[in-house]
Amino acid sequence: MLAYIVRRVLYAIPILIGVNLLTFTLFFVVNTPDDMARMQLGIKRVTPEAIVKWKAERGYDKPLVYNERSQGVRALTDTIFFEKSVRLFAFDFGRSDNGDDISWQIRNRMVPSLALALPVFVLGLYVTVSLALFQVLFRGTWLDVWGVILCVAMMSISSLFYIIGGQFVVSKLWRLVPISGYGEGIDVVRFLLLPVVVGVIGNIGANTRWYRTIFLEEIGRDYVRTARAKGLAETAVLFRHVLRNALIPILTGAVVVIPLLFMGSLIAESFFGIPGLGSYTIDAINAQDFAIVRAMVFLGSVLYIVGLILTDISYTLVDPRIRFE
Amino acid sequence: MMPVVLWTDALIGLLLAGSVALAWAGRRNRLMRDAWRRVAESRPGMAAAVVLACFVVIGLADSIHYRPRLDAPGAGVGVPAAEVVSLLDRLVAGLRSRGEKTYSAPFATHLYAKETLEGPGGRQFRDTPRLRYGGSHLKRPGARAADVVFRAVEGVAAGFALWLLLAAAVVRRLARAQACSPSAAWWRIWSGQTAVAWNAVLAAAGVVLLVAFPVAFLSGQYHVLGTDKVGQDVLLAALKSIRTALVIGTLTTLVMLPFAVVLGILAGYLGGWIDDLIQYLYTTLNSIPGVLLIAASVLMMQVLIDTHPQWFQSAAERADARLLALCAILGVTSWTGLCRLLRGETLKLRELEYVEAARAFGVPTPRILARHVLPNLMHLVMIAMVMDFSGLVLAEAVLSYVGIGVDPNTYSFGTMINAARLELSREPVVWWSLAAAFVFMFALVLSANLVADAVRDAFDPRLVGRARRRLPAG
Amino acid sequence: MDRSLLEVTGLSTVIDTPAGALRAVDELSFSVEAGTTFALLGESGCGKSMTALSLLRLLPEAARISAGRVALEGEDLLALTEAEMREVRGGRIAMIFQEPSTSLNPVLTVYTQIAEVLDRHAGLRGRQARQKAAELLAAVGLGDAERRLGEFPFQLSGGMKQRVMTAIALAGEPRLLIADEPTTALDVTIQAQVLDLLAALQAGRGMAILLITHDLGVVARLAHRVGVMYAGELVETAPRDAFYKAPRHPYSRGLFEALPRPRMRGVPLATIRGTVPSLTAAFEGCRFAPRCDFALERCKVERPGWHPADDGQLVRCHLYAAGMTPARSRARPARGEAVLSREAHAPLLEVDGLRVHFPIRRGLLKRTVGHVRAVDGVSLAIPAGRTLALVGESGCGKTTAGKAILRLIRPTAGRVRFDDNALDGLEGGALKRARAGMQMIFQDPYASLNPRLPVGEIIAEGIEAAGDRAARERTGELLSAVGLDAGMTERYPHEFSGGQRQRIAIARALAVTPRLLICDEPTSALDVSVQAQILNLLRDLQERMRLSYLFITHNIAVVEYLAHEVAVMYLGRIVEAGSADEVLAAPAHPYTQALLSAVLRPDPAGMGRAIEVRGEIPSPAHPPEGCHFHPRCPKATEACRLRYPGETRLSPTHVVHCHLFGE
Repeated sequence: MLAYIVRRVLYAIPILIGVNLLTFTLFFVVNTPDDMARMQLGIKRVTPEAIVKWKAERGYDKPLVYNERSQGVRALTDTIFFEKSVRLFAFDFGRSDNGDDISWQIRNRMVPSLALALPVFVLGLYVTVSLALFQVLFRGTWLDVWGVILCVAMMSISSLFYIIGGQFVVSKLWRLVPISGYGEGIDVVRFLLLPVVVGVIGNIGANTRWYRTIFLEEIGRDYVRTARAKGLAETAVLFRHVLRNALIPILTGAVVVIPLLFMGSLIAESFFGIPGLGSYTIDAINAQDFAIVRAMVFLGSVLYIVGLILTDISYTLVDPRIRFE
Repeated sequence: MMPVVLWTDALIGLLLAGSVALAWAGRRNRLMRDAWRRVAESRPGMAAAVVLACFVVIGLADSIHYRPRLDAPGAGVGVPAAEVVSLLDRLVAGLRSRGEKTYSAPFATHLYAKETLEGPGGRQFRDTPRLRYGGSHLKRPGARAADVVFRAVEGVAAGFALWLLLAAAVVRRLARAQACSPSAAWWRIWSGQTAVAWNAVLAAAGVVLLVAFPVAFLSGQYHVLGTDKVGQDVLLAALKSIRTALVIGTLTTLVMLPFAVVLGILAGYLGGWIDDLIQYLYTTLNSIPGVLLIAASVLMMQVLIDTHPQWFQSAAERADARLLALCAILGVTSWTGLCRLLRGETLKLRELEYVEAARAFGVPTPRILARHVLPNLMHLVMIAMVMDFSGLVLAEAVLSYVGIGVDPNTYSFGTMINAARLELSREPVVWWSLAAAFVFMFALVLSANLVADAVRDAFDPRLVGRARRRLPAG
Repeated sequence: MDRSLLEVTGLSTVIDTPAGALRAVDELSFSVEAGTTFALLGESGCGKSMTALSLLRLLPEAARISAGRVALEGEDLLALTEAEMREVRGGRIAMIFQEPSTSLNPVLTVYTQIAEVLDRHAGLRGRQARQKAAELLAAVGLGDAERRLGEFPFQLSGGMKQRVMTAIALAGEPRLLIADEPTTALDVTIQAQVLDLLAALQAGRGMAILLITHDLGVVARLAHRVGVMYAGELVETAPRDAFYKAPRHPYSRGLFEALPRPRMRGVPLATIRGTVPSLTAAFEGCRFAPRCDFALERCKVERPGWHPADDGQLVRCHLYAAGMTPARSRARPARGEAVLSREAHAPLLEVDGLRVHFPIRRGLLKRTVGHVRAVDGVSLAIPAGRTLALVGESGCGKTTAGKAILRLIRPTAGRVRFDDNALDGLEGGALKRARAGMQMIFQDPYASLNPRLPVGEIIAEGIEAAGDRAARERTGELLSAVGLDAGMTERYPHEFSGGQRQRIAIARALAVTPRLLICDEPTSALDVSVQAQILNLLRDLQERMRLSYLFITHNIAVVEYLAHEVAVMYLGRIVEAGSADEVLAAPAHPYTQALLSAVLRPDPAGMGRAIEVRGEIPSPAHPPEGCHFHPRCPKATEACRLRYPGETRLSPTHVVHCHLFGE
């Protein structure tokens, strides 16, 4: 068990190295720092001097992977690759292209991101699993049929429309909550209420349908027939037998995204003006601030891998077949 | 007229030719035919297919590009224009040319916002000026309602006539095929006794015709869906967005398919270090959150395109290159799911006895892969392709909204929403652009989802197996 | 006469299918007396499982009961509300299912699954429930009950799972136990244990059992009365002994005659021609008439009623109508035992010390910490034109051995010589040429044919692989050689029945004109009457083409019928080998003796008590020290615990590995 987890953690290292090399190639080889400087400065202001200055200010004036002018280890460390990519392994994200401390930003923005993402995740899971169970309990009736139709219709609507529609109706027409913004203390609830509800509703269609399929697959199994032959009521069969087994794929599918909740939601945060990591990323993309995007890619990969490891652990917790191997 | 073949046009043509070739090659394959017959039986599936087909036709018309010749004064022959237009542009030339100054509501005769106008006596006053084109044929604006109703009725009548023609053709074919009277065929269709769900097809065709014709009739004189900030007809923007959505939805899968299929099968069948390598590759790609990888790639692509303007001859080509690059990026970041699925499935197939039997015969590995493994995976590829379509269309909207999607000058639902969303905070609200994008996208994605469901149900052998297993032994 | 415990009258169950309504159970009437066992006997698809599910009203969603009355102690179950029915299920009627590995909930402990019933039907909770559950486990013969209660199903072996299923069924103190193929998924030695358990439980509790099975041996062991089902209806009911003495209905007789038996060697088995009719069709006459050798004109047009025969038998057959003389068994070509030439053949296949070890990798670096010794030193030889049966229970390594001989699995060690060519170390083309005369026929006819290729191409694959390009025409010829229509080459596998698919698989193997066929349980997925057809075909092909067979099986009856030589495998090694007569008539190894004694004979009289074999087959990853069989062996001595016994030659052909026969 422990050896298994240690092996998974070790396996993460080559993956992170791969991610690192990939991002390095993408950001520094496909386009050279000169290209980026030209892009950032804009066509009008591009002069050779301006480019040199721009690169020097941001530390992009070093060689990519090997510095011929330095001695010994410095030949490898005094390079863009070491300064901008290898340092990420120590979670040293450096400064963004416009000069602020990325690590500081991440620390400060994680909380608002989590304040939105966590309730959406927990409530969403609860609501969709309940709805799917409800449909399955009434399977074959018109409730189920219309439930499925509603799910397909709901999953055919872009998440953008859920947000725009929610803001328009709830905030603008009914004036129940502010359209966007973020506050301190208990005030936060006022700002988060709408984004959370919208986030939950936006995921109902696809997830309910997916969970319903899992439940139905489980219901066709032999042990369910055994449970019915014991004289158990349909609800007992569903909650004690089917739910326990179906939760294995559902929970483990959900666990992998838990660490990524820290990253927040790009769209919702920028629409609702929540100062989280999602809106930070969006702003960086719009400002073409590659340093931030690079940091986010690395952070996201780390969190995803943590999610994978958590998934493995959660498997061993919920599935006795794996726990006792 | 000088034909212009953009990269995406060529790939769409390739996709179309490939589908036709596959259908031709597979027409003798009874298993394929049976599966498609099951699709044809599905009523929601067929109704959705009709709607989807309309979108596809519009998209295809928008994929035939050319440079019109300008009749330059003095020159004997026309000079090719710099601007590249499509067949669709020509068909809706009226919509293109009748631009207004700025916002106007659907069916409006006046602009939406008040402006300072100069009266006959030089007196200045604030009012909403008359539109240049919208309802300009009306002598007096008060006659608008009657005119709209009249034209709509005309459209409905024309649509209904065409529908009757269509229904008659279907009835005639069916009557001939089943050797029964037309009235009997008519009865069979509507009581659902036909192998192909003709009732759903005809009903959907009826709805489409009865909506499209009045809109077409009205759009000659009015802006049916209003105009946007720069006075462009919203209906035109919506129609032009269809091609972008279709390109993203289909070409992305086309781009990723070779990776996913080849790598998935090789990893699953050969195992060993090849499997380890391929697994490492897709786990690594998968571990970067999709949006961020796409964002990073698109940003880099943007820099690349912006720093190499000499690569492109026209704005259309540049926008097209960016669209194609977006497909490629979406494809490269999304092949991992299908690859993992195919690898797992190949692992199972490899252990199956018919594959072992082929090995016992000494059939070479490439031949085993081609005859025994790939054909038993094709339904998964097929299902993945149709299931991914709607997801990709939705993703495009989000990405374009964020600014890492298509070129801002390319028509797409994402750019439409992006441009329109700030208008919601205006007083009074400008709602029609968003509504148009919503209706078109919803219709497209919903019909794609329904078709995908029908295809999955028809091709997924597990469902067939389940139906068989439902009869307990004994 | 007392009222029967269960009385079923005119029960009909219909399944809605795309092809129309399928009458799975059609006007079925029978009764089960308290304390006795009634066996519903029939081949797959005859509606016997649907009958069981109908009694409990547990039918799948597409099925419904269309008519009839099911009276339990006089109360009509079909008239009960769903809530009242739940009182009956698991309470007055309990059920055990065929597949113990899927019928238990994988994520709940044994205790939870038993306690559910105790809570529901006996109102027991807490300590009382725990105590009762432990008692139940002890009653079904599971030792160390306290520990077992906390375990999950995957920690138990197949036989133990079926015991747990039985304990769950007993928890509600049922008056009637429905057992649906309770031992079909189990190994021979375990099968005997479970049947003995059911018999003992019935005697102790006076419970009635409705036994559902296709196995005449199981019926002979457990039943008091028998009902034979065919195509959804009962065709014969009889007391057990009368039934085994003289089955009356032509179908029942066909079942008996299709069974391979030792005295039938060298003689073709009787088969029932044709296939079971589709139950979606409407029947006019007798359902069996198209396949019946004694069918009269009347059988085709008039549905037969029940007619009494002697010994309390009832037969649904016109032959027994008043005034008719019941036909005797049909004449069979009287051929004696074919004289098997005993001259010394040069072996066609020679295997020496074959080993297949799969590494077990554990720990941080996936180091190899041990090996699963699936095949651990197997040696055998097959002369041309002869059949060697490799016999053993599941997990003994017999299939792995077969695949390793063909090099579908790479052997760890050992030599294979085929037709005077050594196969060891050969690769690619050389290997392909050297083993060209060997082919394999697999167990599952549903998995051994590619569903996406038409039959013609499936067969042509072998011919083409052998380099014969112009031989597509031969596919038709091969199809007729295995008794199929030569014009079927365009059809797909799913259009064929299991038996027909197995014929196609044989045709495919024959395409390369092999000299040796490795048959891996080729009939275990088939019904008795179809099995007879395939065995006849294999025997016929052997005579015509002088084929050799390596016949891998657990079915002793088939071995007795077909094999010239027998090798018995246990945990990766051959424990006894010799000519069929020697091994089957005078088994020397205690394991062989136990295996043979556990075989269920279709004869209530000739059934001795099985030799008790304790426990389960150990894992081949950790075979016991010394003789692998010693922990289960009734005759084990100190020597058996210490070292593996060497080879003892009992006759020129008969060898055994057992200390009892040592020096």
